[in-house]
Amino acid sequence: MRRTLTSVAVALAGAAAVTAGGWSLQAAALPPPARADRVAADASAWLHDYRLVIDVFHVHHHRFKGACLRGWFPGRGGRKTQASLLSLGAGPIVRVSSRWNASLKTGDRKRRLPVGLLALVGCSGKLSRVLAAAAQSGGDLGVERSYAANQPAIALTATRAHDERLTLYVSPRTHRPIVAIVERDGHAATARLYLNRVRPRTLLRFRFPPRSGRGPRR
Amino acid sequence: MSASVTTEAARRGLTLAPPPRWLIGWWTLGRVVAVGTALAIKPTVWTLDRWDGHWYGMVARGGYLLVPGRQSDPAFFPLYPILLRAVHALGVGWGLAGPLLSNLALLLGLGLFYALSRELFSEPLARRATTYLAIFPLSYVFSMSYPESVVLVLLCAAPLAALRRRWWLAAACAGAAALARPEGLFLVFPLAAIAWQQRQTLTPVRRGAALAAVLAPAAALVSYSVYLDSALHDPFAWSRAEHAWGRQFRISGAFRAFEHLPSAVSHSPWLVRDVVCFFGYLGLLYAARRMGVPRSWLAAGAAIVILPVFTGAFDSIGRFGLLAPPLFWGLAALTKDARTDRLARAISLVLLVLGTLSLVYVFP
Repeated sequence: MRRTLTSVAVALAGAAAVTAGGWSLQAAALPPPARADRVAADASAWLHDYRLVIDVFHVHHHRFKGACLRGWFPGRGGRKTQASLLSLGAGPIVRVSSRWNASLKTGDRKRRLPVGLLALVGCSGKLSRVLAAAAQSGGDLGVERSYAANQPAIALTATRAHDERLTLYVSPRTHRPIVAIVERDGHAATARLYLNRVRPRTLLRFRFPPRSGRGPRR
Repeated sequence: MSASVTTEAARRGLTLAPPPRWLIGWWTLGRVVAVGTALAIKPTVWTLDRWDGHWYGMVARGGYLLVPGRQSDPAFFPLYPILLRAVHALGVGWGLAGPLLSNLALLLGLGLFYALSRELFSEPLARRATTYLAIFPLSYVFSMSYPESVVLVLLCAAPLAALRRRWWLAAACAGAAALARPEGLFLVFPLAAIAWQQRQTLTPVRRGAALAAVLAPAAALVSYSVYLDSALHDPFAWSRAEHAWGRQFRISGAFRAFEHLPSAVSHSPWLVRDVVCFFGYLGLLYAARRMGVPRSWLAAGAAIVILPVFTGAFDSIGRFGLLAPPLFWGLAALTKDARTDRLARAISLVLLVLGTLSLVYVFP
């Protein structure tokens, strides 16, 4: 009995030593993630979790409400592909695909409306992808304490290709996105972001087709 | 294992003879073919440093980062990135560090595999099995920024140390193997079998060390979870990342893998390679069983080949099989006469060239 207990105690001590040694090796040898990368990853996860974002856009000194719904929508050939529908207030509804192609679904496109910028700041799909890529590439990301939408926030800044600058304000505790600003070629677009669950009433309010955006059956 | 072999092994300790010339020759030939073909595709390390190599490099450079819902790097185990950092610290560029580490580790791995095979079987069979491993059609992975070479070293070193009664070393190697690839977990089977065989001749402390070696792979996986918890505040980040990569273990996974096979092949015809490997590996496991490979090794080999199907896909099974020693013992058992042996080597080399060329289009 004593011999067995000795063996078990040695075995457990050995296993504990392997666990402790493994952890120590990883902690000593691998760098922890940068804070900016973590903030970007968390914000990307929030956006990934919500298909529908209700936006208050500020662009060209105009303020208007809109919404963006991520999902599966019929493309040119009628086949459903992953895309987003961007409803610009009482104006047009634009289909934005993952390849940045924007096509008009309904209504007239407002003159000089930078749809690409609005889709970047106002659609969860675009913004989530951009943030995830920036976090994983170890790109030029920065964080600083700030203030947005009348509340304390963390400002996450990312400089992208073609001098495009994205600033995302997130809540300090949960890193939930609050406001997004993008500047490119002298144009700027701002969106106050309200992440929402998809409800029929909200779809109706922003003139999205009912039951829209559901993926193909597998 | 006979008592005389065990005693002889214990007497020898862990002294390893330098690799024989023929082994260095086959290692050189295999690497010249794989690396040469890769350089013919593009005269840089690009071909050997891509696919998963890119992700291992990301972990080595910047540590782990989980992006929930997206493919992220906690799916890639930490030992290989740690070694990449060590090689890089010696002044080797990031791109070259992976292929250099993998190719050198393969030489050591082949030496250990030969020693292990010779402990278990006859010398001619050990020699043939080692040769096939060196030039196996998918062995181009051993030259890439992938952890397979390092895992091969540890997968062979752990049972070899156990056979030679160096149980603490076996525990360290088994733990390290599980920190490099999940396949390290299946060392439990051969280590438990060796510990059982030696149970009557071990002191209580040594018996405890043997049990620790059996527990070591699981303990190492726990250490990875504890580290992920401390670094990312999520002990299950590995599992979440695997899910985003399309790998989720389910009992119904094997059924789903076969059910979706036609559509998966029509979407990615390269999948045929892995399906052929899967059934070929099953055949080799059967051959290994017929030649008398210990059941514990067969269980480890079967787990490495069959369990991935339970994630619902056949992807990369060809590569996973590289870490199942019974496959190569089974192959060596099928090629006893010189003519079949020569034919197998020639076919392997041709397929190795074709396999390396496929890197342009598909991940291994």
